[in-house]
Amino acid sequence: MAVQVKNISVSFPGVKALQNVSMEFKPGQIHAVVGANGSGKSTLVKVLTGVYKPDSNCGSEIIIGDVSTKSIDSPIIASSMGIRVVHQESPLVKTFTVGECVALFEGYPKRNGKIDWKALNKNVKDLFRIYDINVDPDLLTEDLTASERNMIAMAIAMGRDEKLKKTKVLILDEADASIPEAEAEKFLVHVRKIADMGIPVIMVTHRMKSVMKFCDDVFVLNDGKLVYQGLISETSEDLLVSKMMKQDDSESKANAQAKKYTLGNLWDALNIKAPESTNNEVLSMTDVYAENIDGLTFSVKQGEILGIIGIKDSGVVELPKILGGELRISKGSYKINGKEVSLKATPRSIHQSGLSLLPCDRPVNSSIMPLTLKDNVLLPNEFRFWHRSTLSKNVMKMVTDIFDVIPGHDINMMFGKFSGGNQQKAILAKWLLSCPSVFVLDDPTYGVDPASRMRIFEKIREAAEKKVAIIIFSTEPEQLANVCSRIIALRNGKVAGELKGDELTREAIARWCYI
Amino acid sequence: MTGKKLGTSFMSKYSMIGVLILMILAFSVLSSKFFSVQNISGILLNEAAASCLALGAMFILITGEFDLSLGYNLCLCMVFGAYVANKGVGIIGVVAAILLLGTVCGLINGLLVVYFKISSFIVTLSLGLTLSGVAKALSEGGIISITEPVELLVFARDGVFNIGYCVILFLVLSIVMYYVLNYTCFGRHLYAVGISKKTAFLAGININRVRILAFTFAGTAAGIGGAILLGQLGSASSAYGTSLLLPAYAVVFLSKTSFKPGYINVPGVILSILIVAVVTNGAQLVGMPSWGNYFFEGLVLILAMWLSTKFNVTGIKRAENKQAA
Repeated sequence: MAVQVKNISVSFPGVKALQNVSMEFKPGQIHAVVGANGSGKSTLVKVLTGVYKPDSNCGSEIIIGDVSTKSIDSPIIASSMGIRVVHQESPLVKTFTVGECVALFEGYPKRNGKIDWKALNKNVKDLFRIYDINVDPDLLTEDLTASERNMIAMAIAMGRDEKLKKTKVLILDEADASIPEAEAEKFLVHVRKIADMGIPVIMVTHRMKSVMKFCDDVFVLNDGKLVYQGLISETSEDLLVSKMMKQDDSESKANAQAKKYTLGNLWDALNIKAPESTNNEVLSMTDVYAENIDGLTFSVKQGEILGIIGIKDSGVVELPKILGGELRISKGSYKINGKEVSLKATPRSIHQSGLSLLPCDRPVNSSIMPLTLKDNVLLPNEFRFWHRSTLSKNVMKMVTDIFDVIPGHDINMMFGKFSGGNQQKAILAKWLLSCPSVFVLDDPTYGVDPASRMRIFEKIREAAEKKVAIIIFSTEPEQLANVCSRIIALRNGKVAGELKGDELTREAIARWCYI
Repeated sequence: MTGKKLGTSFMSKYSMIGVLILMILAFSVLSSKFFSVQNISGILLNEAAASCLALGAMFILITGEFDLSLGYNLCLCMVFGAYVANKGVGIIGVVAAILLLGTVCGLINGLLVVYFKISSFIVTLSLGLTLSGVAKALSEGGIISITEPVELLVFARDGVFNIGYCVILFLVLSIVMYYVLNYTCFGRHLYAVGISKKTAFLAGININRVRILAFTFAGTAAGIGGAILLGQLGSASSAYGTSLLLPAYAVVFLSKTSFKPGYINVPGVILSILIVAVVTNGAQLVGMPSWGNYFFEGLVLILAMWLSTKFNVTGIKRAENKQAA
């Protein structure tokens, strides 16, 4: 039974997450769906699992076997239609045994009103036999390897007997992302076994090597559009990566609209002086020890745009938080503008020393959705001028112009109503308002639409020209090639490599990242 | 998305006014005694103390905390006030003593919640019980009556143009509160900390200071309420005043349903106080038995909470997903 989606479009205010996407998934085949962050992969999955509904007027159709519908209204309905999904984060409880975890989903067999543990273990073994999983039900989940966890999650999702018969399609939503590459193969062998049962498998993934090795055909999404589809045997990794990569930002620079105001105007209005010219390092870390950081040494000069990349556990997740004062240093020297930062620093004191941090994970760390645009943008600087209505109105007018926040006319509109890209631009303004000496950005373009992305990099360049030192951490390293003058790669909490000048190409960066 | 704006429509902002008018009309019809100058001014007078406490509760709830000691704080302030009044300190002494005590208790509360890092629920309850014990000790388990300072009794019971002085005080305080919440940085910080501590922290706001101040000001409000109630009753004991806490919270939650739906706001609190007062008074006039009071208050609290969740703005992500559908 084939699974088809036709003419799927999903829009949010200001952003078209999916535009007229149609795909067909054949039984017995593993279909890869690939694309960069924000390309629409997870939106597609959410449409199929009943979390989102396609736009009402796009003529969408979802066909599962012989059932055709315009939209799937809830996850429960999706499940009853036979759609099974395994997510990136494992649904297994760390402190339970494997058997108990399975029982959470399948139910506990009872005898005489008590839980029948023997029957439970037998059920688990039966389930595992179908999927060829060799794990003892009495093991604790936290003792399993990542691939074993995900295989079990898959087995639970697919079920057996009745539930298995009803399964029409299996979706793996970046389920292999949490498994280290070396182990991933074991997991994918199992995925192949499931496909062999005649069920179409949709695998959303970032790992190009796995795609080339295990999948039968591939769909490439780019900014919400389906830009390529075909058999794996007829394509190559390089072709797919080139289709995935976002539009080259440098072309669009030429088309930038004329702005009424510049950053300089903004700082003048607030009576803030741009940093004085200096040849010294504005930020330096020497032999720093902290969580996941073991003896890190690097420095940044004025006007430099430094990119920092690394895989998970290299320290690249913790470093921005350390720079911003959220995490503490245990040993080592951290200087901003030549002044030593105290080991007891807080975000407030670091901001006053001249470093602004734009945090990752915007909904949690950067935005207060129910408050207004003005409240959010002026949050760190309230005591200066939030309450001075003429000044703050002028500042907001300049901000919405310079940073291209749309719609910008109503500064008292609720922040949550702006699209992700516009929120991020506003937050950029929030931190640049104080004209920092160093501006650290943690994953600034995650979940941001391409036009906003372009604007953000434009503003970063503008700030650098005004002598602000910039450090960017990004999970989209291809972007860094356009903006950064230098890139350092972290591994095991130390600097493992540096790229600059001619070496600084997209391919070189991607190599460091997708290891 | 269809762009259905949550809570900006006229109906969602002002429908509760309609409810109030409806209630007034209904009770005026049901009881001839309702719509008289005497009754209305009596209603307002009765609510004055609880209303001041509600203003204090606003600080707490906006910051996302919970303070179970406010009722006990108010009670202790009454008892302490009566105690010093009988020592002959005069009006200024009594008022100063009460305000000081309320503020200090609030401050201690704030310090405990912030630095002990235990849930504010438990810490404030424990402190409240302690305060209750002190009140019992001071009053020696009985009732303290006061006949002076006369100014306090007059202030709490009389008024001009049939509006009690204490009612006017409440109105002034609520205007101040409105200004603080909407026009000062501290007010914005209260909302910011209450909605997203993490974001506020990263933006450089001193979260601990904001929370401690919220508890402190709530304590001061409890003191004001205690002074008013002391003047009205002319006596104090460890049993008075503690029942004012939950109704105060109820009206603050209920305020989310009008004027600025989804946010705790001052006009909303005033409207909610009026609605609850009108309904309680009206029900009594119509002949509700005395046990009905608690039952009724509990019912109103449940209703208020339910209504306020309907207007919850902070759950916007989930609402958006539903609307994307």
